[in-house]
Amino acid sequence: MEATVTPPPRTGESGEAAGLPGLLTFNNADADRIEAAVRRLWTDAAAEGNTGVLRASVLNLAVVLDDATQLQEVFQTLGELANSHPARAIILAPEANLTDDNIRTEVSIQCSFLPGYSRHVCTERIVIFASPAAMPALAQTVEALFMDELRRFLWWRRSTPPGGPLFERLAAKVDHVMIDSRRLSPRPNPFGLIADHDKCSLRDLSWSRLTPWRDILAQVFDPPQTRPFLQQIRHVEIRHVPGPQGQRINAAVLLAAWLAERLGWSLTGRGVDSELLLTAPEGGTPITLAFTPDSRPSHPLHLTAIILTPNEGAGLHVSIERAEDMQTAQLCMGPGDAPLACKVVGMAPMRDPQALARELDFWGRDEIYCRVIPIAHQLAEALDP
Amino acid sequence: MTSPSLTDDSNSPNPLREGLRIRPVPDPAIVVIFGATGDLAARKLLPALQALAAGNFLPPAFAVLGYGRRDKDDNAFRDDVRKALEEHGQNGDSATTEGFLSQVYYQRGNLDNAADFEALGKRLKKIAAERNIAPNVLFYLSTPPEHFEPVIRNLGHTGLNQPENGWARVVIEKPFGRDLDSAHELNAVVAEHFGEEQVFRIDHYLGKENVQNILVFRYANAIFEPIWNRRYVDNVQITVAESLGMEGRGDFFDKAGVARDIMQNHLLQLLCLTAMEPPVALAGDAVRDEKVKVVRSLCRIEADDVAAQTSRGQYTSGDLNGKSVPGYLQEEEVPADSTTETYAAARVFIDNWRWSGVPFYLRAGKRMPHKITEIAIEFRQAPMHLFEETRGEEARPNALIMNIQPDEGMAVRFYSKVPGTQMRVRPVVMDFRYGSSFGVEPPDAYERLLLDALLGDSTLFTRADEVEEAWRFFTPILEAWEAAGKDGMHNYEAGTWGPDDAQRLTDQDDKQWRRL
Repeated sequence: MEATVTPPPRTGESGEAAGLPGLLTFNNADADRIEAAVRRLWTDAAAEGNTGVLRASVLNLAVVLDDATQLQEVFQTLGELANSHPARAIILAPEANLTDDNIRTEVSIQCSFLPGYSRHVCTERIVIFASPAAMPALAQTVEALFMDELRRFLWWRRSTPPGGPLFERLAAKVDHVMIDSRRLSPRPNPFGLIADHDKCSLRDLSWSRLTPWRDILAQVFDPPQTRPFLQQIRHVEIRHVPGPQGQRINAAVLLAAWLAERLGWSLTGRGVDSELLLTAPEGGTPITLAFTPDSRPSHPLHLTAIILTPNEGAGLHVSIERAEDMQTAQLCMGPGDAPLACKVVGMAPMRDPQALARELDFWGRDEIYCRVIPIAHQLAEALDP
Repeated sequence: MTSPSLTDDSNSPNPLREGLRIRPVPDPAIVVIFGATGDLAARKLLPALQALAAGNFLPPAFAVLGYGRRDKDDNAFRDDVRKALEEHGQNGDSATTEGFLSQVYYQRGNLDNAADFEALGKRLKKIAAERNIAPNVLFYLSTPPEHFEPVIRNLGHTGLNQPENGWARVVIEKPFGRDLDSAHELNAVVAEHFGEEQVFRIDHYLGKENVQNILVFRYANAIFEPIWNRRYVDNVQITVAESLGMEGRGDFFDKAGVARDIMQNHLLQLLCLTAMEPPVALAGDAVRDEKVKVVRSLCRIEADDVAAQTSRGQYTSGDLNGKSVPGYLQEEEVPADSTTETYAAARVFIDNWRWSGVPFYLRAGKRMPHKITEIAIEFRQAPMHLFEETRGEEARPNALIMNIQPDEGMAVRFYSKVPGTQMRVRPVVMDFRYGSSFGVEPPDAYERLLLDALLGDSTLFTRADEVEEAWRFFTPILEAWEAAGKDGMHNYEAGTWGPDDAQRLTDQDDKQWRRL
């Protein structure tokens, strides 16, 4: 299903795109006026020639950006997301060159054409541009623009950890908050800041992206006969493509923290070459944890492999290594002293629309994430004291 | 940090599985497809298994063993499977497709030869050892129904029905029997060799998203339950219409007819899901218990009442989608004097507290104007005297329509004022299209059902008593039709909605079939 994204013209009072109603722009963030603009766009959409348009919304989604340069990327994500989660999107785009009393709003509808259906399915998009200082005051407008009865989500799509007046005000008005720890700088340790927040109420797209890794690892130990081998793990290597400045990626720490939490490992210190030392709960068996940079410049901030090595002469050797094209991975497993049996598994990186969709579908508390974050904080602290 | 559940006990839960928010993968297993070179395997089963593999829904240790009479080796069968996937499968990347194919094997054998089943057992052990797969086997009977019995018996006699330290399950395609006696006999053979928890009688309709959505629609929305009964519902119409004719299935279809091919299974399942009481859980026997109660509550149509409460017909030549199409009796493999119905309709009642007195009109047919499957709940008419002079057209009651295919969704018909200075009312339709609100492509029904069978979840499969109750209802009708032969068979032109005679069923209650 392909989304037909019709990015609105950035200038002019109004516009038309692809035969569908386009964009209305005005210089304030008056909720009533914005609602009137939305109604006008729908009236235009229902006019002759556009009868094959269906309005759809299953949720409210407020999005906060670092700045307006991220807008096109977000439009693309929301366009794809609209296929499965049509939403009224209210996007706050800070613009440093705007004065505090200079607010601009763009209202548009975004349409997807669904194969097999005779209509365009259209959703609403409201973008409010304002200076960073003026942003917190817009939380009230965002709340006024939420559609009645539909669940409210905040996507904190910023590189700064959740916090500050704008975050606090918006978080108080929504049902769920989504962050993306992949976007957060590893220094200062972001997991501490996440842990300081009510972490159980947060959703993390980076956590969602770990799902395929967690799932494949879980599959290896699903058969009862392999389950005891979890206790034989002695060394874990997580390979990842560092960020542009060579920084280790948060996802690698998160994956390691998940394993540690699930298997009850305790951090004891730091070994050589950035290795971390942990102990298993039974008998204090030592376990080493290594984060190895991988060289795939076209795929920064991605995990590329995890390798579980057992006690010498016992246990199960498991490796999951992504192929060069990053679309599949080779899963190999077997006794440490015998040839490994391998198979190819799907392992395409989870893109933002997929990760968002997964989090939008889950309304409960993610207790595991809740427990993993403090451990991720410990590991990150040990790596970068 | 404390370990959640890590112990030496291999029966303890997998701590890595907890909180994954995705369905668990099945146990390591081998799927054996009987009839592996057939049409169903190529079009549905193998693409479904590939899609499950591509989506990582299958365990790392997994294999597919095709079993057929044709003489070929693993590589030749893999070539066949590759072609089938290219033609009918998803466009998966070549690495995952080749990965799937490397798990595919072939075993030549006859379905009624015990020695061949001994060889099958040895081959299963060999594959299990090679691929480190636990001795779990899902046998899929994708064969003509006359082979079900010998396959089940051979599986039993060779012990493949009870592997040591593992499980065996059997999926049996429809039709399960052709009347009450044959279904009962087949159930007895199955029960001789398999426990009911091992048996998965498949009706792929139950794997369709919108069929499952009937349960969600009814039981997750409190607004419908108060009006889902005889006080508010005037009648229910369930339609399964196909525009296709025989398409090379003339021989098979002529032995079955539309009542056996569609009504006794697909259509009855839709009736059950529409009419059943809330189950205590959405799992296993709870749902099936409630469905069986509905079938048991159906007022039997006795032989002397069949003519009055049913209608049947055969299509004649006509125009469909701008093309001339032959009549049923001119179709290939169909005997010129066939009395097999290509259209059937029935007026049935459910004799229970909720539905007493509410007619359920059921119809299924071939060569209809277009393909559609829907359940329409028509509500009692509101007093319209306030708008008697202004409504402008014949009043139709409020209706709730659940579209199963092709456009999965729901629609509600109600009245609204026509904008203007006059008080004029007009029926309008508010619709919810499943694909528009949740635009992701739903999985194919066979993907869902194969995964359920591998996981041992029988909720969406038909239980022995359910099958027999369904046949108990339909067998007298079928026998009466067979006894009547050509008498009571009404022709209808291909490309129309069935014989005029069907109108007689709704006329009895002063109703009309929905215009589709």
